[in-house]
Amino acid sequence: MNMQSGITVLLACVLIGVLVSYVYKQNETRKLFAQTQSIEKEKLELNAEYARLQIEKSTLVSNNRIEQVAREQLNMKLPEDEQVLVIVR
Amino acid sequence: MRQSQHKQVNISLRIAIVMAFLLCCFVVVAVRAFSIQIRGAEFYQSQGEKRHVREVEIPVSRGTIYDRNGEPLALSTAMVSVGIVPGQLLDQFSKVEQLAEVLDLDADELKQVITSRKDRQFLFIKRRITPMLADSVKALNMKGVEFRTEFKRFYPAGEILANVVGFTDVEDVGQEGLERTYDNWLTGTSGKKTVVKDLLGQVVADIDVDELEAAKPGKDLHLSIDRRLQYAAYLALKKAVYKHQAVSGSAVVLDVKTGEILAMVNQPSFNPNGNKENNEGLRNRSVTDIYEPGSVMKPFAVVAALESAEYTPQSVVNTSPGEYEVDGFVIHDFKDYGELSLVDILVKSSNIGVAKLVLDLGKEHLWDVYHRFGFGQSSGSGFMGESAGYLPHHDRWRTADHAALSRGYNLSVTTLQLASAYSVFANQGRYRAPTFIKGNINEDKAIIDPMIAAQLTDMLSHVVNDTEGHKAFIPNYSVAGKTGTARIAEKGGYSDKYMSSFAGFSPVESPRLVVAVSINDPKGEEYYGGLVAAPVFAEIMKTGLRLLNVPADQLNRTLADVTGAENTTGAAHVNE
Repeated sequence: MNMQSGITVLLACVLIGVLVSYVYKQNETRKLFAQTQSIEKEKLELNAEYARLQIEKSTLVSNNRIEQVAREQLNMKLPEDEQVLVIVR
Repeated sequence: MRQSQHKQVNISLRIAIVMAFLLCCFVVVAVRAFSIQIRGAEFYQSQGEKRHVREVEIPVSRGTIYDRNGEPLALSTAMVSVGIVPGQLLDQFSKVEQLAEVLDLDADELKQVITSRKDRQFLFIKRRITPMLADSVKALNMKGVEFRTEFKRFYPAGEILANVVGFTDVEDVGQEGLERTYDNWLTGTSGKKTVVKDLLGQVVADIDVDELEAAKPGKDLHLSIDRRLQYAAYLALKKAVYKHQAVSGSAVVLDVKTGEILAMVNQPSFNPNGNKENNEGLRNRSVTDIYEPGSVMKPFAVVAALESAEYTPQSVVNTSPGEYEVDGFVIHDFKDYGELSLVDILVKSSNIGVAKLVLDLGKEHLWDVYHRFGFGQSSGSGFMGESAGYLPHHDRWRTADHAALSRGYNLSVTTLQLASAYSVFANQGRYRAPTFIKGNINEDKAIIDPMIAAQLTDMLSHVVNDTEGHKAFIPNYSVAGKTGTARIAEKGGYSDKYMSSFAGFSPVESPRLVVAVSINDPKGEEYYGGLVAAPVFAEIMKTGLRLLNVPADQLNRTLADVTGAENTTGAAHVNE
C-alpha cells in the first residue's frame, strides 16, 4: 500500500517533469525558429543587396562609361595606327 | 415528525429529479461532444488549420547570364509586388487613398477595382516595386494588403547585346533570344512549405518541408560572348550603319579554334530595360535574317574547282570580252579582265571566271560543296528562331541558276552561316558548329582537304593584299577575306538596293578570329562591300586581336625602325 502510493507520487512527479520540459522545449524551439526566420530574412535581404550592388557595379564599369571617363576626364584616346609600335622578341 | 418524514420523501424525489436533469445535461454534452469531436472532427480541424496553418511559396530567382569573363549580362533582383484582398479594404477607403498615392496609382480606379472585385481572394495592384518603396507601403499598416517577393530582370549591357540575350516577360518566362532558348535551364522551381502562423501572422513553425517541392534556384549561364569585344563590334557596326544610312546590319565574331561566338551584333537594336515595342530591333538578325550573299560565295565555288583536280590556283581562265552568255542570260564583269588565274578571279571578283569554272564541274558537285559548308542547314548553334537559309536542290537548277549560284545568287544565307563557313578555311578544312556557351565546344569534322583549305587561305590573303588600299587591311596583321556586293531581290526582280558584306579571318598563318559583316541597303554612292562592310571588319578584327593578345605577324614598322632612326645609341633593348 505504502509502496504503491509511493510509486504513484513518483510517477506523478515524473509526468509533471516531462510536461514542464515539453513546454520548455516547445518554447525553445519557437525561439530558435524565430531566429532562423530572421536569419533567412536577412539572407534574402543580403542577396537582394548583392544583386543591386552587382547592377550598380556593372553600370559603373560599363564600356560606355569607361570610354566617356577616359576621353573626357582623363583626356585619353586610342592610339593612331602610326603610333602603335610592336616589339619583336 | 410527520412533517420531517414528509420532507424526507420530498428530498429523495427532488434528488432523483435533479439527477435526471443533470443526466440529461450530460447526455446533451456527450452527444454534442461526440458530434464535434468524432463526426465533425475533420471539418473543425481543417477550419482550425485554415486559421493557423498556411502553405507559403518559397520564391526562387532566375539564373544569371554572364559573359565569358564573368561580367553579368542579365540578372534578377528581388522586388516586392503588392497585392490586395479586396473584401478587407471595403471599409477603409480613406487608407486606400493613401495607398494609391504611395504607389502612384489612380485612387478612384483602385476603389472601383476593390468594389467590383470584392469577392476575389487576392489580386496584384502593383508589381515589382523597390524594397524601399515597399517599406513605405508597409508603414501604412493596412489590413488586406499583402506583399510577395518577385524578381525583376535587369540587363546591364543594354542595347549592345539586346537581341542576342533577349528578354523575359512579366512572369519571368524567356520571350526572345537566349533567354528563350535556355529558358528551362535558367528557370528555377519555386518551392512550397507548410507553416504555422500565430494571430499576428508571424510564422512560428515549419510543419512540413516537402522534399519534392523544395525550391530549386535557376542555373546560371556562361556565354561565349566577350562583352568588351561585343561593345567594340557594336560601335563599329552602328557607326557604319549610321554613316551609310543603311536599313540594318549584322556582324559575327567567331573563335576559330573553338567555334565560340565571341561577339554578335545587330542594328537596329532596342533597350531591353525599357519597353519592347520596337519590333524591328527585336530580331537577332545575324541568325534569323537571310539574304543572297553575292561574291562572298565565290571562294566556295573555287573550292569546287580545286577539288575536281582539273585546276590549280595558277590555272588560267579566259574571261574576255567581259560578257558571257549562259542559257540566254548575259553575265557581266566590271570590265574585260582578259586571262585570269584562279587567284585573280577572286582578287578581281570575276563573275565570268567563277561561272566558267563551275559550269564544267556539274551541278551536283557545286551543290555538294555548298552543302558541306553548311549552307541551307541550321548552323547547329541551337539559337531559337535560327534560320537554315536556303539552298535549292541541284535537281532543280537550270544552267543559268548554276552560274548564278557560283557568284552567290539563288541561295540565301545568314551572317552566322557565312562566318562558320569561312572558319573552315581558317581551321584546316574542318567545320565546327558555332556555340553561344562558353566551353561548350562542338566536335569538328573534316569537310575539305586541308591542302585546299590552305590554298584558299593563301588566295584570300591575296584578295586583301593585292588590292591597293583595301579597307579590310589592318596594321601589323595579315588578313584573308572576301567582299560581297549583292543586289537585293524584290518583287519582280532585282532592285537598286544592295547587300554589302565582308567575311574573313586573321592572322593568316594561324588564324584566331573569323569576322563576317553584312550591311543591308547602304544609301549613297558607296555601296560596294569593300567600302561599306570591309572597314567594319577591319575595326572589329583590330580590336579583337588586341583584346585576345594575338601576336602581330606582319610587321610594317617595328620599334627597331623607330629607335634606329631617332636614337642611334640606345637600340640594345629592342629586338631581344
